[in-house]
Amino acid sequence: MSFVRIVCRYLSITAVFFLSSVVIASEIKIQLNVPRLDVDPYHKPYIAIWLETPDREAIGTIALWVEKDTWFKDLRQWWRKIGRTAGGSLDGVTGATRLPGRYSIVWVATDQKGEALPAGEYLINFEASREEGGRSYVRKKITLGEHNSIHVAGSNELGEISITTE
Amino acid sequence: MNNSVIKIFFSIAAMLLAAHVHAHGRWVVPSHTVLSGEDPEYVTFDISISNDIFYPDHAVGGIPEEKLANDDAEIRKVPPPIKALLDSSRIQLTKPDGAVQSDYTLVDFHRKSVASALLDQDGTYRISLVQNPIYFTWFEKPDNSRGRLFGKAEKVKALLPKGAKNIRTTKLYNTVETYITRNDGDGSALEASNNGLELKYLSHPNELFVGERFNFKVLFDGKAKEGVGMHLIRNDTRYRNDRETIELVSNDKGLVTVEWKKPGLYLLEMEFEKDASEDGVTLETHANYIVFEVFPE
Repeated sequence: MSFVRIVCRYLSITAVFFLSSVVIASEIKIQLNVPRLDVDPYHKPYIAIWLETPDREAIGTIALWVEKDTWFKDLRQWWRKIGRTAGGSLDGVTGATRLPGRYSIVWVATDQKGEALPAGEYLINFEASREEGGRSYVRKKITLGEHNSIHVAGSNELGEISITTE
Repeated sequence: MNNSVIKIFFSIAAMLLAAHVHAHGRWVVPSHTVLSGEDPEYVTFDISISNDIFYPDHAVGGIPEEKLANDDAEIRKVPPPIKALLDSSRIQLTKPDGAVQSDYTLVDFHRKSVASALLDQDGTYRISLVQNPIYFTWFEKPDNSRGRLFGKAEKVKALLPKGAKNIRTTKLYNTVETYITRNDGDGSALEASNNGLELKYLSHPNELFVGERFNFKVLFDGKAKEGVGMHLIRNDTRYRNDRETIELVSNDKGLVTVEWKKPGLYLLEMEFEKDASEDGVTLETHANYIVFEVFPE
């Protein structure tokens, strides 16, 4: 019995050691609604979702739904924080503009080098800008490494948003 | 200290601190202050002089628009000193790589002048209205009323009224500018020239958002300048009864901080006077007019 106990303790120590040396990137799950608007003509919104440190230093773009680069500047906060310096690093997250509807995004929380972000507080940003329409911008504090869900009510160009961290 | 002494003290302090901007407002308003994308893009500039901020009143010079329509058109007459000033006007771009270009076509549309430039470099451009300095000769008439003539005293001698006294000449340097940033990579256009009255930016003038602070330093000939008064006026003055002028003064390190409360297009006006170094000139006035665009958060 005592041998088994010792082995168990050894195993648990190994497990703790293993967990502390390899940080598994946590995921951010996002549900985003592109609102249906009763306007004619309707242009699909340009939308950017990105992560910043609590001091508003850019970490990375989570999603970018756009068309022509001449209008990227209208996602003003995203453009100044990330867009203008991002260049080719956006290829993996860029897609076409979306029709009204509900969209799910799962983002593995990593930095530009692909390394897992440490647990702690971050700012998640959502910005939408629409030709012949308005602009909406939402910035929320989230905590990586903590299971939590945040809901943000819709505003002009952004529908309801939910963000789940773990 | 008795009350009246305190009152006098504060009224003098207020006089010293208030922004004394004597000349008309003037500006270069760009069609865009931020550009994105790979293709070079044109930006068009509206340049005007007016006390009704951002509502154009007087053009600053350029090819008269009537001349564009008809070579034989009769061109409006302007008094020679003003014509010389208007003829000296040009739009100058200091590009991100430091190159300076000023051969842009400027057209005079009566109330405003208009120019355009193709921006093909990445980084920040400085766009300036460049004009010859202006000499004014001030005098008092025998009835003690004040008068003013364009030009240095020796040039306008013949035009002075009989018995004019307290004749003095001021030389006015105007800096009228704005900034545009295309993509990334600031470059050198915002670097201080260490010549005359200018601002050294501690925050980027093309990244202004409500709720954030904007910091800059006032320099004169490259040295921090304390106590320079200035004010900021937001666009759309015609549609509100209160001008909502923001008054500012540079501190002992020349620093100024603005906390933006409302988005809009802003005109910063500042003026600084000093003894003149030039013969026959009493005072030099250095005035800067800078357009900033502030975005909602």
